[in-house]
Amino acid sequence: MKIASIALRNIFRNKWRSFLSLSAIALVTFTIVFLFAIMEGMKLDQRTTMAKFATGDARIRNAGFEKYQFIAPEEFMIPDYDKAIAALRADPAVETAVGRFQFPAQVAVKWEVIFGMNWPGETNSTLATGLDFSDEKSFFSLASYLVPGGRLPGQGEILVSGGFAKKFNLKPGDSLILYSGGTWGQQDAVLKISGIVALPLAQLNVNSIYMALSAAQNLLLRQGQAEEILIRFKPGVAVGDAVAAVRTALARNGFKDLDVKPWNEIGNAGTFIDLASKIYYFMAFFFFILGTTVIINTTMMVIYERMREIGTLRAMGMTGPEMIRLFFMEAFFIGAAAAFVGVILGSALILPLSVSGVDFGKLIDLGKTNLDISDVIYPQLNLVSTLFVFFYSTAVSSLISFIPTRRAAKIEPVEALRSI
Amino acid sequence: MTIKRSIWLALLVVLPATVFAQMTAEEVVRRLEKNEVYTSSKSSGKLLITNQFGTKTKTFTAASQGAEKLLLEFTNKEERGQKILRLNDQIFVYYPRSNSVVSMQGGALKDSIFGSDFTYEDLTGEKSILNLYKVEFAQPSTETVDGVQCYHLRLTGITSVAYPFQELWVETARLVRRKAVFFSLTREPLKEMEVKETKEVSGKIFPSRFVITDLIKKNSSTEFALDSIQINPRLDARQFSLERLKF
Amino acid sequence: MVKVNHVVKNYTIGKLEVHALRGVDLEIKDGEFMSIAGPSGSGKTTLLNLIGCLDACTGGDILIDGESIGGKKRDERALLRRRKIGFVFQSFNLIPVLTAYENVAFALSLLKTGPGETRERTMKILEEVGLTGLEKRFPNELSGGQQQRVAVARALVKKPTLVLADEPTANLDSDTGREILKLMEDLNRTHGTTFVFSTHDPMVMDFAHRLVLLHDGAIVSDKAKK
Repeated sequence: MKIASIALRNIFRNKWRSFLSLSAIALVTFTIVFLFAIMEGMKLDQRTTMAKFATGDARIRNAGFEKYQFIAPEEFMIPDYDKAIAALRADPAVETAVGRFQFPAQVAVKWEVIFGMNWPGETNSTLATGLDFSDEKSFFSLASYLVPGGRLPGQGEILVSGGFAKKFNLKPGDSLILYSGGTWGQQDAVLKISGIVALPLAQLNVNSIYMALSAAQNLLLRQGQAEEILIRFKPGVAVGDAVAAVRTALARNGFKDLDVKPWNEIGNAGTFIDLASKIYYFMAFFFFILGTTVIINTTMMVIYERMREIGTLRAMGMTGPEMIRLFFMEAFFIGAAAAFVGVILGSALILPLSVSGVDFGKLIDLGKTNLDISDVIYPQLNLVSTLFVFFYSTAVSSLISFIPTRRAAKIEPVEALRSI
Repeated sequence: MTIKRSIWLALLVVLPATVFAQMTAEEVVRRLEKNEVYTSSKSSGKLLITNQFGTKTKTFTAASQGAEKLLLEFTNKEERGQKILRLNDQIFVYYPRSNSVVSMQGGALKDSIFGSDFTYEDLTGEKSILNLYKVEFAQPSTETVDGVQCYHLRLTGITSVAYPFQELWVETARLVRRKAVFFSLTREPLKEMEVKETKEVSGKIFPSRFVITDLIKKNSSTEFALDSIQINPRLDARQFSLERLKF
Repeated sequence: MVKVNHVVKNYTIGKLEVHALRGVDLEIKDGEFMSIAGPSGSGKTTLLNLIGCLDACTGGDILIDGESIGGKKRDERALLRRRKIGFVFQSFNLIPVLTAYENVAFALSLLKTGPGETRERTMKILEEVGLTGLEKRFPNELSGGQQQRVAVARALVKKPTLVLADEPTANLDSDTGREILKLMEDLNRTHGTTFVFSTHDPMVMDFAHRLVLLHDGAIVSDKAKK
C-alpha cells in the first residue's frame, strides 16, 4: 500500500473540506492566470500602441533633442527631413518611414470679438502633432479614427481628439486659436476644425490635436524640418540589426548628430509595464500565500483529527519523514488539482476575451491616469506563463503544508495514541 | 520692480550732465530718477538674446508716453506684428496672425519674453528706488568701472522686492547708471546689467546699448541695443489704446 | 528475548512528578504468552509502551534481542518497531481509508516487501484470523471482533519478535474477547510469537501463561501458570 494512495484516499475522507481547499487554490490560480493574461495583453498593446503612436519600430531624433527638449527643442530638429526619409526608404529593411512634428500648444476654443480683434478668455494645454497624412496611411492612420462628418485637415485646418472635442463641445467647422509656445517666441493661428478623431488611447484622446506636417512646419516657421522620423521595418526584420543599418545609411548620406533608437529603448512606458509586471508577480505571490493559508488550516485540522491514526502509524514504524510525505502528498494532490482547475477556468475565460477584448475605458477613466494603454485590452494567454502559474501554484500550495506537517512528525507516538 | 528700472527706464532715461561734488547716496538716486522724467519717446532697436545654443535677434520699435504707457512692436520676421502694450499695470499681447489679444495675468507675467532675460513683469510697476530700498554708499563710495569713475551704492530692500539686495554703480560725472548687480535673499548674485554704450539725444544721455547677464544660467545674456531714439516727439496718443492694437 | 533492566519512568504533569515505574526488572523469553496486570495507574501501560519502544525510559534500559533501545532516537525506535514489534490496541486503531487486506499489507509495505510475497503473507494471515472473504471491507464495515482480528493480523504479518497488546479485549463483549484471546493463543502456539498484553480483566489473566502483577510502578508478583 503506497503512501500516495493513502494520501489520495484521505482527500476523499472529508470531501467538502478538500473541496474548500481546492476552491481556494483554484480561485487564486484562476485570478493569477487572468491577471497575467491581462498583463500580457497590456504588454502587447503597449508594443503596438507605442509603435503606432510614439516610437515606430525605431525612432530618429536629433541627438540633442532628448536632453534639451524642455529647454530649446526647436534647436534640435532633423534638418532636410525629406532627404532623410528618402535615404531611409532606400533601405530594403524599411517598410515605411514618416516624419512628425510634435509640440505643446495653448488652444483657445472660444473668444469675444472686441474692437475687431479676438479676445480669448482662457487657453488650454494641448499636444499638437504635425503628420504627413499620405505617408502615415499605413502607420498612424488618423483617417480610420475619424468620426463621421469629418475629414483630414488641409492648410489652416486641424483635427481634434474626441475627448477634447467633447469637453469643449467642438464640432467640425468650428475654429480655434492656437498659440505654440516656443523658447524664442510664440506663433499663433486661427485653425478650422476639419474633423474629430476618436482615439483608442485615453491619454491621447483627452488633449491631442493633429494637423498636416506642412501646416505645422509653416506655423512653427520650421520648413523642411521634422522633430522625429518613425520607421517601421518589414516583417521578420531583426530590429537591432536594422537599426544599426539605418545608422550607417544616415551617416553615409551626410546626416550627423541623429539618434536612432529601437522602440524598446524609448521612453519609460516599457519600464512602467515591466515594473507593473513585477508588482503583479509580487501580488501573485501574496495571493498564493493567502490562498494557501486555507491549506495550512486544513492540514492542521486534519492532523488534530487524525492524531490517533498518526500514533498508530508511528507505532507501526512509520518515521517522521514518511509522516511528512503522507501529508505533503495530500496537499500536493489538492494543490495540483486546484491549479489545474484554476488554469483551465482562467484559460476558458481568457480565450473568448482575447478575441472580444476587455473595455477598461468603461470601468475606469484612463484619461486621468498616465498609462499609455488603450481602453480596450485583449488579454493574451501565454503558454509559458500559464504553465508557470500551474507549477508555481502546485508547488506553493503543497510546500506550504510542510509548516503544520513538521509538527505532526514531532509528536511522540505515546501522546498521539493517548488522544481520543 | 527694480529690474524694470534698470532696463526699460534706463532705456529711456534722460540725465543732466551736472556733477554734484558732495552728495548723499539718496541724493545720487534722487538725481538719477529726477532726470529719468520725460513726456514721450520713440525708438527702434534690437534684442540680442544669447543662450547656450546661440543668439537670436529680435527687432522692434518702441513708443512711450509718461511712465505708464508703452507700446512695443516687433519687426523681425518670426514675430513681425506682435505687439506688447502696457497700460498702467496691465500688459496686453497682440498676435497678428490670429488677430487676437491676450491679457497677461498671474503666472504668465513671469514668463520670459522670447527667451530673453526680461519677463513681462519687468514692464510693469513704477515705484522709486527710494520707496523700495534703503540706499547707502559702499566703502569706498566710488569705484572705477571700465575706466569710468562711479558712485558705488548698496541697496537693501525695505519691502517685498524681486531682488532683496542690489549694487548699483552710477557715473559720478554724468549721473547715469553704469552697472548693477542683483542679488537674492541669500546674497547670491542673480543677474548683472552693464551699460556698454550711451547716446546723447537732445542734450540728454541714453544708455543705447546694455547687456543683462544671467549669472546662474550658463551662457545666457540679453543685449539691448537702440538704433534710434527720439525724445519728446509728437506722438499720436491713441496708439496706446486697445482699439488701435490691430493697426 | 526482551530484557527489562531496572527501568524507571517518571512523568511530570504540570509541576507534579509522577513515578510511573520505580525500577522494574523483567525478562520475557521468546514464545511467551504473558499478561501484565494491575489496577488502573499501576504502570502497566507505561511498561508496555517502554517495551514497545514508543517511549523512552527515565532510567535503566531495555534490550530487545540483545539490542539496547535506551540511546535510540525517535526515528531509530520507529524503524525498530517496524521490524520487531507488532501492536494490538484496545480500540483496534485500523486505518479507516484502508480495507482489511490493505491494513494488513501496509505493515509489509513499510518493510518494502515485494508484491507477491505481500499478497501471499497477507492472505495467509487473514485466513488464519478467520477473515477470508472480508478482505475488501473497510473497518467501518466490520464488527469490533472482526476489526480486532484485522489488528492482530496486522501485528503478526511482519513476523515480529514481539506482539504487544494493550487491553485488547476492553472494547469487546466477553464472548468476542475470549475468541480474540483464543486466536492470539493459537497464533502464539503456531507461530511461536511472543505475546505480552496488559489487562485488568480476570478472564484475560486466566488465558495468560505467565502473569506479572504490577502495583504502584513495581512488580509485586511474577508467576508462570501453564
